[in-house]
Amino acid sequence: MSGIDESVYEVFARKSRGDPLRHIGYVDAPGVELARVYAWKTYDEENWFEMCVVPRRAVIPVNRPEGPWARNLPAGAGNP
Amino acid sequence: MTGAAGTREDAYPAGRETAPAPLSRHILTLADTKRLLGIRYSDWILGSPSIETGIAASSMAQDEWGHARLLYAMLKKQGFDPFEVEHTRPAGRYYSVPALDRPFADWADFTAAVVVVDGALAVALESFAAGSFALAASRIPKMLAEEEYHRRFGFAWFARLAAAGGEAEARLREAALAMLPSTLAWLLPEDDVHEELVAEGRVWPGGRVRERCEERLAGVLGQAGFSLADVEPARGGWDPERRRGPGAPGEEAVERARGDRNRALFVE
Repeated sequence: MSGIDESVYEVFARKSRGDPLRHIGYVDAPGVELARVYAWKTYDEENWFEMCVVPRRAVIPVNRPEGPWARNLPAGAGNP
Repeated sequence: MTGAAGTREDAYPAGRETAPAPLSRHILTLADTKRLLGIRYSDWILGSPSIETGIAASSMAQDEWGHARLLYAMLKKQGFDPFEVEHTRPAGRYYSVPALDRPFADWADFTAAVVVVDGALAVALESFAAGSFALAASRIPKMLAEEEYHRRFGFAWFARLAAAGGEAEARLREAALAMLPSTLAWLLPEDDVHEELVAEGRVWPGGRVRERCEERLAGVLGQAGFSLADVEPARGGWDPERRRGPGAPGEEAVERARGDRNRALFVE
C-alpha cells in the first residue's frame, strides 16, 4: 500500500435547524468521503441535526495572516 | 420452548430436536453474522491505518452489536429465550457466514468484509424490512440508516486500496474473492427452508436479492477488476439448518460473543 496522504478537515455541526453551526473538532482523512464518515463516527456524542466538514486548507484568514491553526509564531508581527 | 407449530425449537446447545422454523433461522443467521462481524471489526480498533479509522471501526463494531441485540430480541416471539440464544450456544450452533469464521489477516480483509459481508447483510436486511414481518419492518430502517456509513467507509477504502495498485490491489482482490462465494451462497440460499420464507412473503425472492446486490456492488468491485458475475456461490457441504457451508466460527470469537469471561457479572 502506498503511504497515506492525510488532509485535515474541520468539523462543524448544529443540534437543531435554528442553531448556528459550531466548530466541534477536526479529523485527518485521505479524502472527502472518508472525512465525512470519520467526522460522523468520531463526533457522535450528540444527535446532530446537521454536520459538515471543511478542508482546513480552504479556510481563508481575514484579520490574522497566519490563520487560526498557526503554532509557535514569534511575538510581534500581529502576534501578541 | 415451543415454536409456532408446537414443536421444540432450541437453537442452542444440547437438546435440539428440530431445526428452527424458516423465520427463526433467518433471524438467527442475520443476528449471528452481525455479532461475529462486530467482533472482527473490534479487532481493528487499535492497529488500523489511522486513529480516525480505528474510531470508525469501533463505532461500526458497536453498531453491529446493537443490531444483533435487536435481532435476537425478535426471536422472543418465535418461542426462543434471547438470553440463552446469545449467551449459551457453542460455536457449532452459530449461523454466521463462513467469511467471519477466522479473524481478518490484514486491512485488505477488513475492507473486503465491509464491502462484501456487511454489504450482503444490508441487502438481506432491506429484503427483510420490505417483507411481512412487522418487527423487521419497524426496526430495520434505523439499522439501514446506520449501515449507510459502513457502506461509505467500505467503498472509500476499497477504492483507495484498488487505486493504489500493486500489492494492495492484489490483496484486496484476493480477500474479496475469498469472501464472496460463501457469502453469496448465504445471501441466496437454494433450499426449501428459504423458499418457504419467500412464499410467506417474509423476504424478496432470490432474483430480486441478486439484482439488488449487483446494483450495490457492481461499481465498487469493478474497481478491483472483477464483477459478481465472475463469482459462483459456494454451495458445497451446505448445512440447511444453519444456512451456511461447513465449519464454524473460532472458539475464541464465540467465547467473546457469548461473554463467557463476564458470565458471573451478568445482571440482565
